[in-house]
This record gives sequence, structure tokens and C-alpha cells, in this order.
Amino acid sequence: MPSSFLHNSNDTVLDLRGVNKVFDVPGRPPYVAIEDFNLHLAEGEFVCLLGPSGCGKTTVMNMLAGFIEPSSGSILLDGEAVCRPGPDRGVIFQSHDALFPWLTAQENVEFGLKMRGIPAKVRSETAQRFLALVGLANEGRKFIRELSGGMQQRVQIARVLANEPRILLMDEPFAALDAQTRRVLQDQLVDIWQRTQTTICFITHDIGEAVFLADRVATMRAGPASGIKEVVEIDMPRPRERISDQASVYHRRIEDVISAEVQAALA
Amino acid sequence: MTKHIPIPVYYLFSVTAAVLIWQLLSVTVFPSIFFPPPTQVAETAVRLIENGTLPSHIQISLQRILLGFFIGSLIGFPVGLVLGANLLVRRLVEPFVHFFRFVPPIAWVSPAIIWLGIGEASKVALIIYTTTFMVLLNTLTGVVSIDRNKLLAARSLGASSLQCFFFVVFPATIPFIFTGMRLAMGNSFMTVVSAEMIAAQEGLGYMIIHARLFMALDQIFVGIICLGLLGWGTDTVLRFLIRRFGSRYQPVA
Ligand SMILES: Nc1ncnc2c1ncn2[C@@H]1O[C@H](COP(=O)(O)OP(=O)(O)OP(=O)(O)O)[C@@H](O)[C@H]1O
Ligand SMILES: [Mg+2]
Repeated sequence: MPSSFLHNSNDTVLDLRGVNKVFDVPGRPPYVAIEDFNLHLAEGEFVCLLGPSGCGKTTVMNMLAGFIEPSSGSILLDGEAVCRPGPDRGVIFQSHDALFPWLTAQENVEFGLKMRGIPAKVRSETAQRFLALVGLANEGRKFIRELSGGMQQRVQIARVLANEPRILLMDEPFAALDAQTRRVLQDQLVDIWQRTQTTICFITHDIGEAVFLADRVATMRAGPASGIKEVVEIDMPRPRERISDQASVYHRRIEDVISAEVQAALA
Repeated sequence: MTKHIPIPVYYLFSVTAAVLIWQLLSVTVFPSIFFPPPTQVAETAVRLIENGTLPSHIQISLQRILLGFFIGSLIGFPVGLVLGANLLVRRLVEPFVHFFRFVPPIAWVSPAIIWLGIGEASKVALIIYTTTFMVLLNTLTGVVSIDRNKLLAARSLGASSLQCFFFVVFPATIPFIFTGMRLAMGNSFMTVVSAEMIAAQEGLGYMIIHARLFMALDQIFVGIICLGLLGWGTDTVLRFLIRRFGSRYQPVA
């Protein structure tokens, strides 16, 4: 993927400009969570949003997904303001409680298509295609509780991909998995990303994960009034090694950028 | 080790033991006409079955329960869904829910009879009342406790509010509705017996209260045993139906 070529601002998919988010909590002074947040995601780009716990990553994600509104500033998807949730943004939640346990894996994947009135036959074919894409071709008839944690996250991925979203929004999707499963899913995600050429905004607090996955790593300051601190371009060829001299250079560099922020967050 | 013995064998064992102890106590330690042995209760039961009174009492009580339970469930669950999903309606209706749920159906026996007469309507109405509340409250709890992420996921997958209601809120609430129905079935038994004891010419409650006039404890025992067995039976059927047709909703049955 020639990512440097894709950074051309003409094919910006997602554009956040001067986004602020203030939470009004009754009985307390308003909490400024996000202040002057700026980020652009180019078509087909894989961007990781990295920051210390509580800095406001999920808040940004919620605004991108349209679950909450920014207090000011603009969020544009293909040039249009984001104001409500929609299938053009595929949201993948950290926990599997976002899946529907009364539906089978396949029915979960079909959900978005069904909501849009796609005929059953097309739905079923599409769902099977995306289940196969995430390596669950044979698990479609199982209910969610019959799947492992890693499989459940893959169902989530297939479920949003079936909607053919413009962008995937993933909030620490692998954080609850064991290290082995996490690595498998990271590999698979890169594979899916390369095949579907979807734009991905991936939230993590794991530097190693960010360096392995991203074209660019956007680091955030500690809250309150968090924003982008620095964007680090990961110029490593794919397929990537998790451990390499190059990777550790990037690792160190990002660590330097955010260690001050982590300390601020813990202080 | 206990794997190969079917569960009914355990039941049979403990029940037989209990009946034997009862028999023993009633003929040796407390021989009294006020403590009839199981053999005598069984004789009475056979007599009541043969002359047709017991089957007709059972039939009447069961009819009242099932009719009231059915109608009450049909009212309770949509109302609970709407109350759970609509904050405005909930705020308006909440005081009544909180108030009436502490008023047991038996307190309504007299008004029910005065308004609806001594016939079937009053008893069925009381069972509808208790069932509606039980199912409504459980449904409401289900709607309110639904994972926020499920709703957010549905919205971002393209579901409208109405679709969210039918394809997420409703199925997510089904286990709670099932639980409410099972609790309601228990309450229906209590309600029908109380109502029949106060004003009825038929039914198990009537049979029990009527036997009291003659100190016919054996007949009372027959009534009590019937209630227990019928309750257990209906709950078993209900659980079977829930598991058979609702297993994907992960009922706690
Ligand atoms: N609805 C809300 N009302 C008030 N404050 C909120 C609300 N949501 C988030 N916050 C505050 O905003 C800040 C950022 O929260 P957020 O959940 O976005 O952090 P995060 O970076 O996702 O953290 P983590 O890495 O632990 O998931 C926190 O201080 C949090 O307390
Ligand atoms: Mg978070």
C-alpha cells in the first residue's frame, strides 16, 4: 500500500478540525475533555490513536461514531458533517456485549443489511462472504456465546464490514484478548485491511500494537483538554515484523512522546 | 458417580421417604383425626375423583388461572416494553406501578366481586391484575438494563429507532419476560385460591375452605397436594415451552 501517495489531501475520508468536547456534569464545573483536536485520515489509511488512559480516546471515537456531538469544531466524513450514527462508519467495540446473543454469528453479520431491507438471499451470501473473510466460514450457525473471545471480535469486524463502511472505527478491540489471540487478530486485521482497502481508525494504548499496525500513529496528550500531541509516520514495509530494529526505534520514539503524558495522567 | 441415575429417581426416593415418615408419624406418634395419614388422604382423593368433584374443582381453578395468566401476560409485556422504552410515558405511569405493586390481589377481592359479580369475571380479573404487574415489572427491568453498546451498535449499523425497538430492545428483553411469566404463574395460584376462598362455589380454594366447616383435614390435604402438583406441573410446561421456543434468548429457565 503506497501510503505516502495516499496522503494527498484530495482523498481525505475523515477530517476533524478544531474539535472540542466539554462535558457538563451537574453540580461540578464543566469538564473540558477534548480541546482543539485536529486529525485527517486519508483514503485507505490505517491510523492508530494512542494515548494514556482517560485522555479522551473513547470520547473522540464516540464523536466520530455520532454517539455524542462535539461541543464545537467540525467532523467531516467525505466532506459531510457527522451528526448521527450510521452504517458508513463501522464501529467495533472493545467488548462483545455489542453483539446480539440471540442471533447466530451469521445473523449478527446480516443485521445491518436486514435493517436496510436487503433481500434474505443476498444478505445470506454477503454475510457468508464476510464471515469467510474473517476466518469464520464454518462458525456462522453458532450463537455468540458458543464462540471464543477472539471469534466474537471477528464477528464484530465481519458485521460492520458487511455494511461496506467508509471507515472502521475500532476502540481497543483486542485489549481484552490474550497475547496470542491478539497477535493472530492483528495479523488478520492487516490482511483484511489490505484486501478491502478500508480506512481504519484504531484506538489503542499499546505502543507495540500501534507500531505494528499503523501507517501513522497519532499520539494524544493527557487530559483534561486533550488533543493530538504528535503524529508519527511509521515508514516500515509490510508485511511487518513485530520485533525489528526499525520497530524498536519507532517504539522508543513514541514512548518518548507519550511517557511525559502518561506521567501527567497518573499524577 | 451420580451421573447414571436419572433425576426422577431422586425425586421418587425423597418423596417416598417423606410419605413414609408422614404415615409413620400419623399412626404412631400423633394419631389424631386432625392429622390424617397419607393412606386416608389417598382414599379421600380417590373418592373425590370418583364422584367427580375434584376434577371439576381442578378444572375450574385451572381455567381461571390460565385465562387470567394469558390475558395478563398479553397486557403486561407490551406495556412493560413501552414503559421501558419511552421515558415520558414511564414518568407518568411510574407512580401507579409503584403504588399498585404493593397492593396484593386479595385486597381487591371485594371490589372485584361488587363490580364484576361473583362469577368468573371477578376471579379472572384478579389474576389478570397480578400477572400484568409481574410481567410488566420484569419487562420494564429488562428494557432498562439492556446493554447500551447493543443499542449504539444497532444504530451505527443503520437501524432506525423503531427497528432498534423491534430488533434489539424486544429480543434483549425476552428472558426477563419469561422470568416474569414464571413468577406470575406462581402468583396466579395464590390469587385464585384466595379469591375462591372468599367468594366462590367451585374451585380448589372453595374446596379447601368448605372442608374446614367439617374439619375434613383429609380433604384439605387433597386440595393442598393438588395445588402443589398443579403449580409444579404448569411451571414445568412453561419451562419446557420457554426452552423449546426461546432457547436462543438464553432464558434462565
Ligand atoms: N459522559 C461523560 N461525562 C463526563 N465526563 C466524561 C464523560 N465521558 C468521558 N468523560 C471524561 O472524559 C475523559 C476521557 O474519557 P475517555 O473515556 O474518552 O478516555 P479514554 O482515553 O478512552 O480512556 P481509556 O484508555 O481508559 O479507555 C475522562 O476524564 C472521563 O472521565
Ligand atoms: Mg476508552
